[in-house]
Amino acid sequence: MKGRRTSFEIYWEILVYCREPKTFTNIINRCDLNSRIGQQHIKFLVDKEYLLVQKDEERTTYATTAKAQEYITLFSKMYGALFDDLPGFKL
Amino acid sequence: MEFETREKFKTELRSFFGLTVLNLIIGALMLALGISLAVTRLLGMVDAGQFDPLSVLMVGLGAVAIGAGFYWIIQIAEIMDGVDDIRTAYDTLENGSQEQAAGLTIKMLAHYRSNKTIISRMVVLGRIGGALFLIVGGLGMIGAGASILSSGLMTENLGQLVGGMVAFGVGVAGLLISRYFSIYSKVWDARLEETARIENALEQQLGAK
Repeated sequence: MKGRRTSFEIYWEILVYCREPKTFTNIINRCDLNSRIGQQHIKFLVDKEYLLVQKDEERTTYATTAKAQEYITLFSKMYGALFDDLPGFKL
Repeated sequence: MEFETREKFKTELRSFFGLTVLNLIIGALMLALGISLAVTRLLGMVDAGQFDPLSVLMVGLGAVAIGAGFYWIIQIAEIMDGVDDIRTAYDTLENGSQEQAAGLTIKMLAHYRSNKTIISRMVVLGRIGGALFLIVGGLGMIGAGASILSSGLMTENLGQLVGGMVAFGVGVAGLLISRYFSIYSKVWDARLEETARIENALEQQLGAK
């Protein structure tokens, strides 16, 4: 993705993407993060128990927890409301 | 409610894309008129073998218009590239949920944050360019009018008059587009301010405080 995002926007993208378990590489590729920033954000979400770490023999995956749904819903609702005011013209 | 949000999204994207296309056309016209103005006046001075102040001023204005036109086109092309990406993404999510709309909102906000400075410059440049072409167009029309009054209606005078009218039209369009960009920018600035308030709520939700 082009452009600058806030941490909260990145959290939301990670959480929505990880509804199905995803690897670290999947997450940083999809959310267009570098490794360091990706680690920081994922660690934050794991610490908050919004992401669940699942380890098996071959790989480690991250999955969004039920606890994160409140954040996802609140975020979606509030960002949706940003479009209540439109520029006063149409082309 | 969800449908309404998506419709607004779509309308806004179309408006902004239209605005950028118009801006690109105005930039190209500014470049073309700048070249025309500078070259015509310069050749006229070389042919006459004398440099009158008005012609020198027109060559200067033409040169400024050429530079501004180039800059304008390059900047708008960058903005258009991002808008097109977002619009394409939206087209593939016609039946998306509020969540998908939120995802696209993030893209649009990120795009605006990245291009905020350029858009502000476009507003200023549009005003300067618009005023510049209003002056050039006005002078051209006055000159043509004076020639018509003194020597009657001739092809040369008519050409000068049409040229002046075109330049004047570009000037008006430049000012109008600048105003539209300004309106757009204000709405998005308000949204960015709103996201700061949203962040407070989300921070509480995350329990990060």
